Order: sequence, then structure tokens, then C-alpha cells
Amino acid sequence: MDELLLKWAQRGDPEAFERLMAPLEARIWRICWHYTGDREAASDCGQEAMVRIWRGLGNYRGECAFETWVYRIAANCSMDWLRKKKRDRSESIEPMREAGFDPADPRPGTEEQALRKDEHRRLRESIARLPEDQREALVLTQLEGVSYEAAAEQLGVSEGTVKSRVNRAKARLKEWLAEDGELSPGKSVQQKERRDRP
Amino acid sequence: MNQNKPYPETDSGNLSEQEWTELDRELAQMAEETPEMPADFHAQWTERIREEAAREEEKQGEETREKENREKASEKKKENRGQWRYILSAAAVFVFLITGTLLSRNNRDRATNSPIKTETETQRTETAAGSAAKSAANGIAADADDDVAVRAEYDTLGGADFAVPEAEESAEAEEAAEIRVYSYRAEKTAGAAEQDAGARRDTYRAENAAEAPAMMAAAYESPAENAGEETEEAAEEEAEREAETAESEAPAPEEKQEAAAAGKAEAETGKKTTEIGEETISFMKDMGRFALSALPWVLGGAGLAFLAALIDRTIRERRNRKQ
Repeated sequence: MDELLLKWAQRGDPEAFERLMAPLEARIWRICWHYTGDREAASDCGQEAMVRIWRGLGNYRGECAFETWVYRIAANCSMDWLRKKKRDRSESIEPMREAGFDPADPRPGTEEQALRKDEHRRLRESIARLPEDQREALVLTQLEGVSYEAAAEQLGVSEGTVKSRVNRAKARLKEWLAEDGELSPGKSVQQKERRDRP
Repeated sequence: MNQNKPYPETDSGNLSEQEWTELDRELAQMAEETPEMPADFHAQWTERIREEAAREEEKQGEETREKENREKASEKKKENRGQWRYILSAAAVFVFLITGTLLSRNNRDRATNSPIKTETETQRTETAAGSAAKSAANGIAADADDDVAVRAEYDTLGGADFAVPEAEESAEAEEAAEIRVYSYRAEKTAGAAEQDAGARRDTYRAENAAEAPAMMAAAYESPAENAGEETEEAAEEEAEREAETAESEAPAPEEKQEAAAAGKAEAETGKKTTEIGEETISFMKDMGRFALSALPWVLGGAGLAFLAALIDRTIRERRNRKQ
């Protein structure tokens, strides 16, 4: 990260901010996608995250790594989006579902793909429920493909701490997913087939 | 995509190896299925940032303008308030001074016009005027040849006029008395000389009328007698010359009038000059008394003004510190 660019951006120069954030924009978008699972939502959350970063740049004092600070903001934006979506769904769809209405998935695709998407949605929702430190470590290392060493440097903790956080996160995810059903999409498909058989 | 291996030695020891593998596979699938960032994402967020920056600039400009306006308004208010404060304090000090001076002056006047004091002062003035008139009359009478007559006549004619009835001031009375005495003396001297000359002329004429024929006859009759007669004649002539001289020395009635008028005019001029001088002196005395009576009030007013300025300064300093 260029310190000079950061200072210029903190003074309110949009061009400096663009140059500063250009290398991080792809990862910001991906983090948003991992949380939301939707391209448009990821773009919206990514933009919102950029605006929040721009507004809060003056408050950044270098207490943590700039990248960590940026990813946290992106994750928070995604979480806000998820909460909002959940609220909207409970307000609009859930009462309809309770009344017996089952909306069909408008997007085309095989049943297996639909089930996998459902599985991924549940997994994303579970990830969103994780504590912040575990969630950061899990997303960076398991979804973003950052090495433990790099993640430790980015998060400002030791490599062992990162590994520990990841394992704890996985254990929780496993528990939560096991409560809802089978983890493997293959198993879910088999169960579905069994249920559908006359 | 995910290069990190699961970490088996954890506190979540309940998970089996298979479960770990399933979860890892699930996460790997998620990571693999992550789509590419949309191409327009960069343009979208940069546009939003520029809009945001422009909005902030506008907002800051408005805030700056509002702040400037507020500062200007507050400065104007402060200036007006300050001006009014100064004007009011100056007016208060002015009113205080004027009122105080007038009050003190009234008190002084009341004290001066009190009955007891007036009576005493009148008596004092009378005594002073009387003594001045008397002393003037005495001095002049002593200087004059016929001081007894002059004094008697002066006392009869003028002295009483100067003494007191109007309770004039002593110096004025003295001056007037002197002037009158001088005028009177000049008139008197002129009258005496005239009388003397007239008497001598009459005597001479009477003697001439009685003795001239006899003398003429005796001159024809005996030379020796004539010699004696000539001597007498010379004496008579001499007496006549003296009489003429006296007559010529004695002022004519017109001259006498002119001298009297000139003396009177001179006396009037002197009186006027003296009056002006007296008025000036009394005015200066009044002013001095006025200044002396106003001095405590002036000092009090100045003290009040100083106190007000001190309080004002203290309040301002506190306000500035708060700001």
C-alpha cells in the first residue's frame, strides 16, 4: 500500500483513492459475493463498501493493516445486506410460505444445482453467523485462498492463531449444518430422490 | 484455489476425518464457484466515489459559507453591541457629571442665599463700604488745603450716598468716592480762585474810584508828595496785575464746565473699566468654584467609567476563553 496515496486519499482526493483501492477491488467484490452469493448483491455491497471506506478514510489511524480494515468493512456491508434481506424475506415471503405458497426458483438449472445452491446458501448464512475473528480467518484462508502466513500478517496475529480460528469456525459450521441436515450435496440429492420416490 | 489444508489438531475433536473432508470440499466448491468480478464494478464504484466527493465538496462549501456568514453576523453583532455599550456608558457618565454638578451648585446657591448668611454678609458689606467711604473722604480731606470745609461738604453731599444703602462692594465704593472727591475738589478750587480774583478786583476798583482824583491833584501840587503817591500808585498797579493774573489763572465758567465734564467722563470710563475687571474676576472666581465643586463628581465619574471598562474587559476575556 502506498502511504502517499493513502494520505492524498485521506485529504479527499478521489483519484488517489481510486489508485489506492484498485488492487483491492476484486477481493472486496469476492468477499461480498461469498457472503451474499449473488452477483448484483455483491456489486452493490462492494460499492457500498467502497463508499464507506472513502467516508471513513479520515478515521483510519493505522492501528491495523489497511487491507484488514478494508475487508472488515466489506464484510460488514455484506452482513448488513444479509440482515436486510432476511428481514425483507420474513416480511414478504415467509408469511406467504406459511400460508402455503411455495415460490419456484425462476432461474433455470438442474435440481442438483439448485440443491447445491441451497447448500451453499445455508453454508454462507452459517459463515455469516460466525464470530468476526473466525469468519475473517475462514473467508481469507478457505474461500479467498490466502495462505495462513499471509492471513496472519494481514490480520495482525500469529499463524497458529489463524489456524485455530479456522478450525473453530469449521467445527461450528459443521455443527450448525448437521442440525439442519446432511452436509454433502450428494447426500442431500440422494435424500431428495428418496423422498420423491413413490 | 484453496491451498490451505485443514488443521486436524483442534479443539473441535468431535469431527471425524470424513466430516472435515466434506466441509473442506464444500468450502472449496464455494471458492471455485466464485465468479469473476464484473467488468463494470470498477466504473460503478469510482463513479459513486466521485459523486460522493462532489457532494462533500458542495457540502463543505455550504458549511464554509454558512460559517463565514455566521462569523460575520456575530462580528457585526459584537461590534454593534460594543458601540452601544460605549455610547451608553459615555452617556451615563455625562448625565452623572451634569446632574452631580447641577446638584452641587444648587446646594451651594441655597447655602449662599440662606437668610442668616445674607444678613451677616449685608452687615459686613455695609461696614466695609462705610469704612471705605470714610477713609477715602478722610484721606482726601487731609490732602486738601481746605480739608475741613471739603470734608464737611463732602460728608454733606456725597459721602452718605456711597455709604451702604445699596450695600455695594467696598472697592467700588472707594473708587467712586475717590472720583467724586476729585471732581468736587477741582470744582471747589476753581470756585475759590474765582471768588478770590473777584474780591481783589472789586477792592481795587473801589480804591481806585475813591482815591484817583485826589491823587491826581496831589501830583500837580507837590512833587514830594507825588513821589509818595507814585509809590502807592505802583503798589496799586502791582495789586491790579496780581488780580488780573489771579483772574486769568482762575478758570472761566466754560472751562470749569469742560473740566468737570472731562473729569466725569474720565470717572465713568474708569468706572466701566473697573466694572469689567470686577466682572471678569468674579466670573473667574465662579468658574474656579464651579470646577472645584465639580471635581469630586468628575473623579467619581472617571472612577465609574474605569470600573465599567474593567468589567467589560473581564467579561470579554472570559467569553474569548470559552470560545
